[in-house]
Amino acid sequence: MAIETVVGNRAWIYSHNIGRNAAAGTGFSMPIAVAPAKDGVLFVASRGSDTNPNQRVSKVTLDQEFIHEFGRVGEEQGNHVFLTGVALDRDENVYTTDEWLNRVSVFDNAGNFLHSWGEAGEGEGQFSGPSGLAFDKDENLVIVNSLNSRVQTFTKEGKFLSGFGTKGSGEDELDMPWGITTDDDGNIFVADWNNHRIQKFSAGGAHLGSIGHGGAGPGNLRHPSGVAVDGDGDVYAVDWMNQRVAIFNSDGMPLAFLRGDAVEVSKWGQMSIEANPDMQRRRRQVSNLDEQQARFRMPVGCAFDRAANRLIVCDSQRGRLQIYDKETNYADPQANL
Amino acid sequence: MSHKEDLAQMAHLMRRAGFGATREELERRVAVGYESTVEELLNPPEDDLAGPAGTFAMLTRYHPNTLLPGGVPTLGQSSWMYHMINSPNPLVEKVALFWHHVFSTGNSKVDNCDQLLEQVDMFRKFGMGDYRTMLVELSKNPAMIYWLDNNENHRDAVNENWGRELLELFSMGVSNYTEVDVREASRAFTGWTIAPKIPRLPYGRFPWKFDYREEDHDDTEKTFLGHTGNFNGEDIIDIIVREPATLRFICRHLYNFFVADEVQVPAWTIEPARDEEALGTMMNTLEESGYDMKALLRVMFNSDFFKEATYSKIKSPAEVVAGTLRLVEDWNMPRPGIKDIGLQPGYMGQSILDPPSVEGWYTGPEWINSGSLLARINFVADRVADTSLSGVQKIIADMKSEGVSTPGELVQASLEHMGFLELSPETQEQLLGHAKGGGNLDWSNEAATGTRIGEVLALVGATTEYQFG
Repeated sequence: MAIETVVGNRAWIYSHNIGRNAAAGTGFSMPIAVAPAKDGVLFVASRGSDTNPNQRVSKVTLDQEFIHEFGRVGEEQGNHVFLTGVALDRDENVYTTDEWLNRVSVFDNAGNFLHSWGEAGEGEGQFSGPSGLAFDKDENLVIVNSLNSRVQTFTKEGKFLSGFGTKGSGEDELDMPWGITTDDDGNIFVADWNNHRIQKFSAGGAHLGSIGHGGAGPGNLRHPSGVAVDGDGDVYAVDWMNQRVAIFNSDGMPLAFLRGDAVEVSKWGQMSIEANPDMQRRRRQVSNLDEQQARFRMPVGCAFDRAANRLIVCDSQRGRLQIYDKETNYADPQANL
Repeated sequence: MSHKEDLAQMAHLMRRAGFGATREELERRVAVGYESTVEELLNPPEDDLAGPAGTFAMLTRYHPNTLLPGGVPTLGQSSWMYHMINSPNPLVEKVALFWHHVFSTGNSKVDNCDQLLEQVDMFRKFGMGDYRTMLVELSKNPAMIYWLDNNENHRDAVNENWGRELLELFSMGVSNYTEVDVREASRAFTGWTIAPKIPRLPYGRFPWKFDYREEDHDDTEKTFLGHTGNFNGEDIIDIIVREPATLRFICRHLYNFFVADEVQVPAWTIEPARDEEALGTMMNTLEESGYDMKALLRVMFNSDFFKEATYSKIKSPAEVVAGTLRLVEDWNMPRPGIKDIGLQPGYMGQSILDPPSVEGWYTGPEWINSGSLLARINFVADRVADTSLSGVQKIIADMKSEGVSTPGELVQASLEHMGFLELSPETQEQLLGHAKGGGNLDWSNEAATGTRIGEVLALVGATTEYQFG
């Protein structure tokens, strides 16, 4: 069990996990995207379920305190049907995408609905399954249009600025893209889901390179769903179908995999177990429980909190977040300690 | 054969070896040829067999809860129905449905659709392989072990549930073994169990795994079907597959599912097979091939008895739903409300992943009662008359480009688009009488004409010929 993943002078050290499967309150329901705020606060988007509609945005802390939740199920303003992405502006207002309703909803930091924008369509500035979204260095929103494989940039008030991308498998094309992020230089990274790679574009849409290709080995991705970039330029691809996070350096060279390390039960998870003696008894009977429990199950989104040098992964099927601290200038201890 | 006869024969094949096909697909397949199509169906790309292919990925992206639906049957049912509708390898799904009929395992007891879907994956993977391997895999399948209590089958406390159904319902059929054989088979499967799994709280369902516990296995001598030895489970299966009764039982099931409706299984000991000659051909093929299901399916689909067996099988509800939705091209992308496609077969009497008992469903005329018939007809009518659906729009566009005008042409084109159906003269006359009431099609008013076409398609959906496979 690799609680610490070391590559050269970099290390990713598993910190803890937050959450449990829950339809409301202290837990998540298919967490699909996460946005870190100041002071250890996280906004987590839960996809929910068709039979138990519990989509929502949860405001929680890294210390596993539940603050509140908002944006639950429905087509009305302030609600969601296919909640997909979440991002914060500098004032920590919350922006969400809904790939069924084709709109961006905006909430204040307390979860009060402010307004929404967007309309369905294939034209410039229109939405066709908006999924991932991220703010760029100019505080404009770049948003993935998953169904027509485009990336569009808007002001945060919703004014269309520019767009690029065509559907296909060519070098600079996209096929059902999902997650998106930007780096400090304004470059745009897109999880090119159906082409099994991460695509890197300039802010203007020029294709700068690709990371990964289809498969299960080092350097391979299968249906990547999320992407993040840290301050060192390392790229994190949530390798959805391979059940891992693949880490690449800024040149696209594969560095390591994170496969999930949640050997411990989260604080809220522990509440579930303590309330159910049968669960406790059964858990005692399971062999290699730690190994099974620790692993990601189809993780979806991720975010890198550059202020804290911290990676947060949405371990979607397990209803939790797994947190890793990144240590740069890592030095391996002497062997004979 | 004329081109239209080729299309009709291909439509028959695709109804049985899949869930029907649009006219466009039929034209493409006829161009390839009948026997080549059979081979294409029998030999799908390996990538698409069991899991992480496009259909699965697309569904799980938009409806992640269909991956591990737990005890909620609807999401598991929706998952499988979505695959039936969209799989590029329809025979793989059809064969899985066949084995689900025979090796019926239900959520009513298992309360774990994750494991039932895993069992369906096993049917996809091994369903066209050899039957012996399938029985071994079935014996190790966690959902089946729990369903038939083999986890309660211990060296010192034998539980006969699995051993009995293995013989009665999964291989030989009643009256071909004794109560002693049941007991001895059950003893051979002691120790075949499931390992404790991480419970569902707090992180959702974790998978069950097969666990063989030697210390709980009865390794003493057993006498089974005249053979004596220190048998383990696989030895029992080896003996079962050498029994002529097994050949007949499995072939009769296959005939009933793919060729023509038989009497219900409990009557097989007293009622002769519908076509003994065809059954004999199938049994010989299965025996000579070493129980290779693919070899049997190849011979069956290419046989005259199969080609001539049109309209001799009432579609199961799953076939009605999947076939109709394929035809109208609905649900070819996930959207909100997916639970509906999982529930629909249940409204017609077939809750997939949740059969009424280990006997599975009674088929043929048993599918039809006053409630289920209305549900079937209304389901089809609601879809084929919905001119917003792309498949219906294509039918309308085809009719326009073909210059369909008169009521006779309208009826004929509708029958062709719904599977090159050949109606009885009486039904054909009634349909024509209705179509004549509206006169010729007026293509200057496409909306109204589309509605009229939808009405005729809905009437075709209510005919015996559409409701039969």
